[in-house]
Amino acid sequence: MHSDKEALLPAPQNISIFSTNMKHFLTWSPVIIPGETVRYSVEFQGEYERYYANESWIPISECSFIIVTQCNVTEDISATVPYNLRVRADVGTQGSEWGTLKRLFNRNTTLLTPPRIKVIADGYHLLVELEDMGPAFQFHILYWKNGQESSVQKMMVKEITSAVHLDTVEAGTDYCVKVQTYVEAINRSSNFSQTQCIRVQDARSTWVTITLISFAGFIMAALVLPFLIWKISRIFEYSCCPVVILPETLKVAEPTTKLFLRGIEKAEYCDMSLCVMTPEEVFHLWIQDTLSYDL
Amino acid sequence: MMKTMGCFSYLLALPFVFAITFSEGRKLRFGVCELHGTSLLEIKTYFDAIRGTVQDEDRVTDTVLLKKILLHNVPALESCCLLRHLLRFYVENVFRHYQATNPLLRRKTSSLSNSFLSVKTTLRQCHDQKKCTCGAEANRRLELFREEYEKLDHDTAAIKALGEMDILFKWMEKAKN
Repeated sequence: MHSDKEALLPAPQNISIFSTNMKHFLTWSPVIIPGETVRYSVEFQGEYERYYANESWIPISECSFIIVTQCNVTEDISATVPYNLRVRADVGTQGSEWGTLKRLFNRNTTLLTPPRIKVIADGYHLLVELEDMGPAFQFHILYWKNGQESSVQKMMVKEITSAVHLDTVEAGTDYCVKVQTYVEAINRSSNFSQTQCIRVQDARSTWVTITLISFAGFIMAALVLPFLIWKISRIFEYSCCPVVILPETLKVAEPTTKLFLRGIEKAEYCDMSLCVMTPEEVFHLWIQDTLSYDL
Repeated sequence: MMKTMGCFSYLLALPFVFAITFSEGRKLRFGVCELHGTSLLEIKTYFDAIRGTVQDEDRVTDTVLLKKILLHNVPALESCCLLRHLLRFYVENVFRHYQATNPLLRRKTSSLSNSFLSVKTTLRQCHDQKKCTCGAEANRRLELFREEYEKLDHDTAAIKALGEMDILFKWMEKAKN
């Protein structure tokens, strides 16, 4: 009875694997049961399971009871040995037979495409931006001065970090770059990307920037330097030749005689010196004084 | 201004770029047998996924299977044979007796066992081309390893050998030139 039910649900057909740049996807044709949702489950078997683990199969949990007809098997096709894959359909409690790949799959047959690249000239620096294709990929980079194809420079990059610096180059020259990927795990390389050439601009703009920065620096120096010199001279002055200010209490008052002298009229000078006058002279002076007052 | 800043940042990245450039051409080589199509880095990643679990499961901590004297100063010409037999031992005995405690662990162990099988196949090809011949020294070391392994019961020994794979990888790493 059970086997009759199983026979009702056909096994998935046209099971095939699409593998590009070490990413592997298993696909199959849908099993159509009107009014029912069909779910699919995928299992894999490596060479080890086939020959050393009693031909066992390992379920791929991400692809268990899924409704789509595609499964990413990249994680499990993890060694360069022949793998087998199988898919089963389920409707409720009813399961189909397993549908299996027609031919075993080895990841060394993956399609390797040339990488996408972007060549950049930044000042006198030649750089190349590489497409991130995952940790399995290394890049063989070839670059040369246009017209000098005989002296090609080589570089190998194992990990991509934004742009790869290739060389410091001559201005006003055309440089060309082409790149191929290499996958160590399968010892295979992709074709080279299309050659991309770029003219390394005369870095005049850089000079303008440098000149501007230098000018700004000069202006700054011109403003700051005198201030600094003044400040330093002040410091020297304070520390070497300090101006001593006596406390108020120690200040001696100015001599009284001087105070006396201040604002004294000419005529009064006589008071200072000893004048010996005759009575006639005294009278004469008195007359003079009186007259000047009257006037 | 921005352009100049950009230039400076690239200059700072220069030492790194040189580092990756000079590692070019380092291939795994054992004696005269070159391991094409083997990424030790990849295999080590698989081991990292199970390392914690298998090393925790290992309860026998007073002994080491892959002792220093086994992998120290192996004659260059016999290193290929030693590796081939060690991998074969892992494939035929160690992985077979390891019962993964959960489905994910089983998948990760599968990556390792299939990778070992892949390297073993390459070494086998070298052997067929007489590039991986065995000598007395390799045989003596293998015998020492087997003796240690057989002192323990199958399951305990298998877990222990799995946890010690990093010792094996370290030795393989040294073969890079």
